[in-house]
Amino acid sequence: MSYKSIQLLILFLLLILNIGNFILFFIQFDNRLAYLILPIDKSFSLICHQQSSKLFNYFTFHTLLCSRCTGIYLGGITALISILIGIKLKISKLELFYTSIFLMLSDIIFYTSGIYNYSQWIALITGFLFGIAALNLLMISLQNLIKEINSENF
Amino acid sequence: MKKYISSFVGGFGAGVLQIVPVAKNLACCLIVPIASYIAIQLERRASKDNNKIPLKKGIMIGLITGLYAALFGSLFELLITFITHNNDFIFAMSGLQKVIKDFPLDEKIKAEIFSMISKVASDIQRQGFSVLYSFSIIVNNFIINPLFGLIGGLISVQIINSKISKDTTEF
Repeated sequence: MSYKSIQLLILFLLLILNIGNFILFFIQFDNRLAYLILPIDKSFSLICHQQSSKLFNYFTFHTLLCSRCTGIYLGGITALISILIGIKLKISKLELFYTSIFLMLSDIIFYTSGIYNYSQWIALITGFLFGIAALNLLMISLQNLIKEINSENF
Repeated sequence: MKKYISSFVGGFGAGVLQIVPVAKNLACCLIVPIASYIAIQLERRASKDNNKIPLKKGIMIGLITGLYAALFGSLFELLITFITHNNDFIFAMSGLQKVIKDFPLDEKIKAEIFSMISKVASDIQRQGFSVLYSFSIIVNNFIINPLFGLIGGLISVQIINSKISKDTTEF
């Protein structure tokens, strides 16, 4: 399996995840999608707490994942599309990863300790940054894995 | 079995945390990837190996951690549902019904979805078990957890190896 095909597979998975997350918006175009709400909602309960107060509200709809998870998966797909079209980050991927974790943890600590109230936008942005960083790190890992496998074969 | 004892420990921890509401609220989708990181670190400690870890080994540990997390997560979830006749689906049911009710959907579709939700909920509340619910729990757990474990394993090895490279250049 080539690196390009792995990238496309991950893009496909992220696309499905993001469409599932915004399914309440898409139902207006095809009512039959409503049958998918129950299985998608149940599947998402494994990867997100889905607390109703923390879901991301847009127009008159809301996401099925919380604002932070919505940010993570939107960040992931944005980073992957950027990589596919050749946009490269000029900063260290590992430093970006640590910074994004620091920002995300700070937000969790600040709102749970009552320094400020929970904000869906802060959660979305910190999640988005983490998604970008994690996806970049994942892609480097995959490149290294392919190198490792190739060096074993030759 | 002994070979994957670190995955067992990580997976068991993740399986437990997946059903603890407070932990789930804080760690969210990061429970299984963090469990993979812990499993890899445990494996390094146990084998007393300070060299770089092959990515293939990281993937394997992550995948098995995810499988253990799926096994224990499903077991605990089904067991607790069976004992208490209650779970997060029952809590979320009214919200879900409200969402569907407010939507401008075809009445027939609405009625079918309501009956499906009600059937699952009444089975859980009466017997503590629903075939559809149990099937969805097991299938979801065994797809999502190994996938997240695998991703966690890959990223963890990348982080650990980068740290090892940095340490060896410093000294």
